[in-house]
Amino acid sequence: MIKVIFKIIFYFLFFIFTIFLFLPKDNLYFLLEKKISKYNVILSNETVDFRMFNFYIKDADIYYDGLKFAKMKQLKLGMYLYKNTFQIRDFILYDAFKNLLPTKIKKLTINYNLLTYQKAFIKSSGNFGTIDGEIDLKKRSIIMNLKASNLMKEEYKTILNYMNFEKGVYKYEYKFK
Amino acid sequence: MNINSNKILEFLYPFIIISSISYLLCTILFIYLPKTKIEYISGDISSIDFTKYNFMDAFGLIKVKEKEIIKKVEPIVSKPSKPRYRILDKITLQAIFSKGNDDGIIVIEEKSTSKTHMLKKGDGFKEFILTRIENIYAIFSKDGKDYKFHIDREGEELEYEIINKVNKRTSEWEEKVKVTGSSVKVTRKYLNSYVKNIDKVWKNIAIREVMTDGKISGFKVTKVNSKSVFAVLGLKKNDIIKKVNNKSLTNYNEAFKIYNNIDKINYFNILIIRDNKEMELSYDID
Repeated sequence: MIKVIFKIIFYFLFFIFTIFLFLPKDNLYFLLEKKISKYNVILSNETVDFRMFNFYIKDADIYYDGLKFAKMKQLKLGMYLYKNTFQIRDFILYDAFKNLLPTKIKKLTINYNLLTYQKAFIKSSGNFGTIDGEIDLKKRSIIMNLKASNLMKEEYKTILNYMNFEKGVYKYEYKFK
Repeated sequence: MNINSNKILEFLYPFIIISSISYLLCTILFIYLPKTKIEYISGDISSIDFTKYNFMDAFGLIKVKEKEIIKKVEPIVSKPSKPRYRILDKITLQAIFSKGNDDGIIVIEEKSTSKTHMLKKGDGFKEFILTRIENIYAIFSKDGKDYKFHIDREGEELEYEIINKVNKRTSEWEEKVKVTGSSVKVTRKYLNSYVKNIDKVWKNIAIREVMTDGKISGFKVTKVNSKSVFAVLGLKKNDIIKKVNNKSLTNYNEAFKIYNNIDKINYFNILIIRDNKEMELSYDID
């Protein structure tokens, strides 16, 4: 009996493996592009690289509603059965926005794993400082704790005014539907 | 040997079946997924040259006869170029009958002949097209350039103040906002001092979205510093900004677009609602 169960599990894992192998990944990416274009976001001039469990978008120009908004060096989506990782490196806003927002995200990582399935964890660093936070999927909220850099404190005080300052950390909470 | 190959086949059989099923599923998925990528194309693509291609030519089935080509070539005769009409010098705006919403009729007078013309939006005059009609001005366009005409209202005074102050370091007069006749001019340098310092903007003005049916329909001014440029330009608390340069502010992006293109624009026209009445504030950027 146990032998049969192991066999079924093994075949199931093999099935998942072959699905990953044969998935039309390019076309899935086109679908993703189509979906985000409904929100007026277009990724352009990028190179897309698919590996077995990883997916990379490199050197993308990001347009928002016809505006050249940002340039992104790399986006990595790691899809493992027990753990998923979303990572962005060197996300740079165009100069036009530098008066409004800090322009550089050096690294942003969102980790989600099955052991803590109700939460995804955010870590980020850039010229704004460092961010630790979590996305609570049950409460449908995002909580971020920002350790602001001097640049952020000096040039983007307005944004910090929207956050609560507690024990040296700026806290921000956002609820989504 | 025969037994061995049977065993191998027996072992591989489920894997082949599973692979085939997943391949089939992925193929079905492929049919329903989009096949092309979305790229952002900037600029106007309507100017791409159209060339007529002959399918047979492409495969070399028809030889293009040189004689035919020669026949089609016409001698180039240089024609005297048409003198350009300088609209700014040649006409004056005599009257505007504005119906609001960028609609109405204007009367212009040719200075040389004193001949008057009545034009409505979209009408052409010489090579210029009347593209906008507002309460105190009209805009003609040609080759992507706008030519703004203010109605001549001599002696009429506007409410705007002139701000001149002495720069303590350079001891020079700093001209910030200039009111002459019916036009209000803001110096680009002064405007840039706000554009490049967003904190200065938020210190002097506070706005929040006005939502109608779940969508942004404008931005309400909730605070204006009376000493700031916003007050001087005529904005007051509780004004609702509906349009800037005829673009409805229905999302933050429209506001961002204007902010980003501020270097390229030469005038501001702000449509506001004050005390349930529509009003327009117009400024030139000098």
